[in-house]
Amino acid sequence: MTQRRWRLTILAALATLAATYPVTSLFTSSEWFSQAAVFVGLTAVVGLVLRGLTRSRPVVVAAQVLLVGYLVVWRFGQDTLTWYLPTQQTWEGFGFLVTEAYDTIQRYSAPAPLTGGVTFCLVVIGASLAIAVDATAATWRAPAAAGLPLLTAYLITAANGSEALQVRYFVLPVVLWLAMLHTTERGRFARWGTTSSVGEEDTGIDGRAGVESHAREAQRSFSGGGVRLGLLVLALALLVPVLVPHFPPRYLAEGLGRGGGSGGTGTVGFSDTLDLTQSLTNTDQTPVLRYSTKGPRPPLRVLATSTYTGQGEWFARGRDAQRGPSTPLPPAEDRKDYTMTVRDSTLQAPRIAAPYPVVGVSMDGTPWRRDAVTGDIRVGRAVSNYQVTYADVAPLPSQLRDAGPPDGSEVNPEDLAIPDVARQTIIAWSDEVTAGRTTELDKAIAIQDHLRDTSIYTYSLDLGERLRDRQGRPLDPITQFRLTRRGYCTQFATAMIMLARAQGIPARMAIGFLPGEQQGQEYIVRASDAHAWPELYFNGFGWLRFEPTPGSRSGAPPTYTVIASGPGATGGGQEAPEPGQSSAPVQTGRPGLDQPNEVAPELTLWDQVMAMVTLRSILTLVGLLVGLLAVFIMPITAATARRRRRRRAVTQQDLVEADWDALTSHLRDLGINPPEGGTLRTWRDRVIRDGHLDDTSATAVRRVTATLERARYDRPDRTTPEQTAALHGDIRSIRQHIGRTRAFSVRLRAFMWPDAGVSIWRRLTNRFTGGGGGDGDGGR
Amino acid sequence: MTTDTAGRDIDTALELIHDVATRLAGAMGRVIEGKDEVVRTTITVLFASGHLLIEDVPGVGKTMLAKSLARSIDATVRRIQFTPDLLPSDVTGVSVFNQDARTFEFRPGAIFANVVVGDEINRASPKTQSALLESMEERQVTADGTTYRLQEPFIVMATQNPIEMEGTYPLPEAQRDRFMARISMGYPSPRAELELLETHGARSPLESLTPVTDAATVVSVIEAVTRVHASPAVRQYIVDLVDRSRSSTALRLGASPRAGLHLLRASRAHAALEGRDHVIPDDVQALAVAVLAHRLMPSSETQLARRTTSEVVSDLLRQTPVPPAAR
Repeated sequence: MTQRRWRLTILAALATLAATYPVTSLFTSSEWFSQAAVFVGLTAVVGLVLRGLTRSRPVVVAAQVLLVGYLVVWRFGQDTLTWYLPTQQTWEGFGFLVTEAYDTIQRYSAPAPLTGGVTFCLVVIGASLAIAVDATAATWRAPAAAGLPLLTAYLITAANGSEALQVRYFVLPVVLWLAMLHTTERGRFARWGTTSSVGEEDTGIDGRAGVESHAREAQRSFSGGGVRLGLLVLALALLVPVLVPHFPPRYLAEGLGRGGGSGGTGTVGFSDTLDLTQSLTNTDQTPVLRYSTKGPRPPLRVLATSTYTGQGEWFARGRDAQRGPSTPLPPAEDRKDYTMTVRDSTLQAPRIAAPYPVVGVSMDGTPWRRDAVTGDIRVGRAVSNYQVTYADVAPLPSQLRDAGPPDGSEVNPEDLAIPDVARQTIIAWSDEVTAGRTTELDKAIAIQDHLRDTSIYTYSLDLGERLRDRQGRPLDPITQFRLTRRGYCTQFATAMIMLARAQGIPARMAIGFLPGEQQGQEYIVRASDAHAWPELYFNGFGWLRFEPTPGSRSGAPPTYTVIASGPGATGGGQEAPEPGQSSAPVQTGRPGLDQPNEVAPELTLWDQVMAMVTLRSILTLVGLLVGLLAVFIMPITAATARRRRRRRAVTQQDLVEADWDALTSHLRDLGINPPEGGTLRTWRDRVIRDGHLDDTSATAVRRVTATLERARYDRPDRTTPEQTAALHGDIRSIRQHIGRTRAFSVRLRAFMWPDAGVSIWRRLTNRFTGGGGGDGDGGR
Repeated sequence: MTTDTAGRDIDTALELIHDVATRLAGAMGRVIEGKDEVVRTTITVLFASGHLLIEDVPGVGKTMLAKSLARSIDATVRRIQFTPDLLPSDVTGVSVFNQDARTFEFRPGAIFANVVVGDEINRASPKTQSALLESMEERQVTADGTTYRLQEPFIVMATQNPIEMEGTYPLPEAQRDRFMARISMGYPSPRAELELLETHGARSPLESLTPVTDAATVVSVIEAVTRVHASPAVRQYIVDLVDRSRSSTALRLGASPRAGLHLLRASRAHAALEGRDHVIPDDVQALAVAVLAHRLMPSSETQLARRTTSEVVSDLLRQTPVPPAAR
């Protein structure tokens, strides 16, 4: 026994370590793991010693919690202890650590930096898991239950990592867990033995040698069977994921940097609240789309919006197209048209990515239309391959300067709206930046240059701590950006839009992807290429793109924005492709291109349903159905057989017998067996007694047997259809009443594994295997 | 239409059977106290037109049972006390020369009655026994080339003492086969015995017993019982039981086809007594021990194990599944 206790304790500790180890892959440093390991080991030692001292299980666990808990407190709050006892300060310190960990988890994607808070939390989690696993596996001898805490530890990693976990992370904890199960069950089996000689410590006594060796043999064969079964299950667990579709890994909560959004696997979704953090921090290397084009490569726009909520969020209109003044395309002489071929797009309907402005779209049969206001292309269902013809609009700065103040009917009041909370800040800031500029273009360029100035602003995904005003309220994002001077494309673009609006230039937000990385003839766009930029309105030229985001993670500023300021003012200006340099301008309206069609069919419910019907979803659905069918195969078989027999019944007697067989087989499943060689009346008395039936049900049972007796032994014409119908009802009520007296597990088993269904399958398999043996080799 | 009349017929017949049985049981119950089961089996055998063997130790009321039944029916009753010197002609009858008519004329023996009570049948010589048993089976007597039919109803109730074996000729198993059923009286319960001491003190209650039915009614009852429906499933069950007794290792001799016939007839009567016009396996089970046990010969193992054939029959009942429907 002692030996087994040792073994179980060690296995439990190892399993805990093996299950928590994969968490190291989520953080940049695995320093925390050695600390956690110390506490896991400590838990094991405390448990082992205490289990030797006391038989009371709660005492063991309580002592483990107290001792290990105190040591954790001592380790992390050493300085704040008074007389070796935690103080108010200690708990506050821990609160700080937890907040820090929470922030880290919220902000970073894996691998995240290992802050003090994270270390604290991981050690606490590791110690808690160790206590839980030790308590269930070693103290309570229920290693099967220890699987749950182990699974929790394992799933922390599985759900938070960016990609599928490696197999070795899975195999080790599972093997250790199975070993725990094996050790415990083997000990339990040994105790079944009729002789005490099967115990491991026993020294054989001569007289018992035969019995003993027999028992050993049996034990070995059973435990060998268990091991084989365990290995088989492990192999299945490794094989099945290869065959089934991959579901988004989630457990208990969203993973690191994954709040919000509705992305499934393989698709990139844009939620209505446009927060790019999720995409920008995405390290997933799976392409969002691939494209090829011979023209210039502006960012691919997915959508644009003018609505800013004031809480720092841009809000895209839903699926319905906006009604309002539409923006016409620039005149043909001011633009050049190019064609872009996109393939393997994983964007969700109704969005597709395309450079702005789009002249025409070609995709086989999918309904699409253009949003009148924003110029977004909406599609009826997700398309993976399509062609877009886009215009390269490159007006000369001189033309833009001459455009004059915007007064176009295309301009919404929303395009000039400034959030009230930050109005003062924005106007002051804008006036400061644009001081001395007169034309709209110059003002816009001044704003862009100001924001691109890396000596002032820092590009960072880390927005820093949320600042608060004197009343302690969090500052609005624009003011915050002005003060902290750090942010990513969303902050830069928002700032530019607001500064432009303050100068009376209509501006709006565009969301999409950077041009991506070249690979052969193609360009690959990944989720991390997500980008946001402002679009400003110029009379006669429509909405023009600007690029206020500095650094590598932004596009080059458009040509019309750099010439005026001269070189050096903005980074990346040199890279800007010269207009007209690109060859092969493509004619519009060439055959095969769909013309933008304002009267394209509305997105009906049917279209939306059809958008959901993909091969993958069909396969998943079929798989689910097959799985359900497999789970419920026995009840289904039984019900089918029952119905078939009733349908085939010629006489009333056949019907009665069919009902009767259904009842007796169900009762047998519930543990009420008909007496051997008994008649209907002896059966009846037994059912009333064993089924604990009340008077009403007992009467029903009597009615059933009376009907059956009449059907079997009386003249055939005496059984009437009314009696048969009454029998059916009675049988149902008897089943219900007797079911109520049985344990849930018995009822569940009777439902899931009915003899009526099992026997049919057994017969079938016997017929195919040609053996009548049935469970012949169950004994070996 | 026919079904309807048949239904009504059988209903009135069942009423009649119930009525007669209740009256008989009431009358007999006054004499044989606390032995309802035995009384019931006796009436069943009477209605099934069979003969009854009552086997038990002396003094438990074997003869009393037979007499009470005899007295309850307004019919001819004869009692034969079997002794070693009893001759076959004493039972069947003899032709005597009539001096006046100058012809032989037949003097019917004791068997010519509706109810024949044969006391201590194992005390008579085998020759006499077989004379009785043959007439029991054939329900007729042949003397000097003339056949005389016996009266209807005809029931022989023989008693036999299994303990006192000195100077007796036990009935061979083949002969016992003629009896439809064998019953044992068993000792009365202490309470019944106490009552018995009180009531039987002054004069036998048998004296005050008056007939509650007559021979003609019993004949019609017997006829009605034959109309009780025995479904193929029940017949199958009886065949299964009988068949199993023949292959049972606990028995040297299994049940004869006549045993099966008797079992079916008795089951019909039992069903009718229960007020049913069809036989169910419960009827068969209720009577199987009484009808089968005395015909079977135990194997030497069974004898060594001191098991009785009644126990073997009970085992057979447990082992034989009741067929759900006719095969």
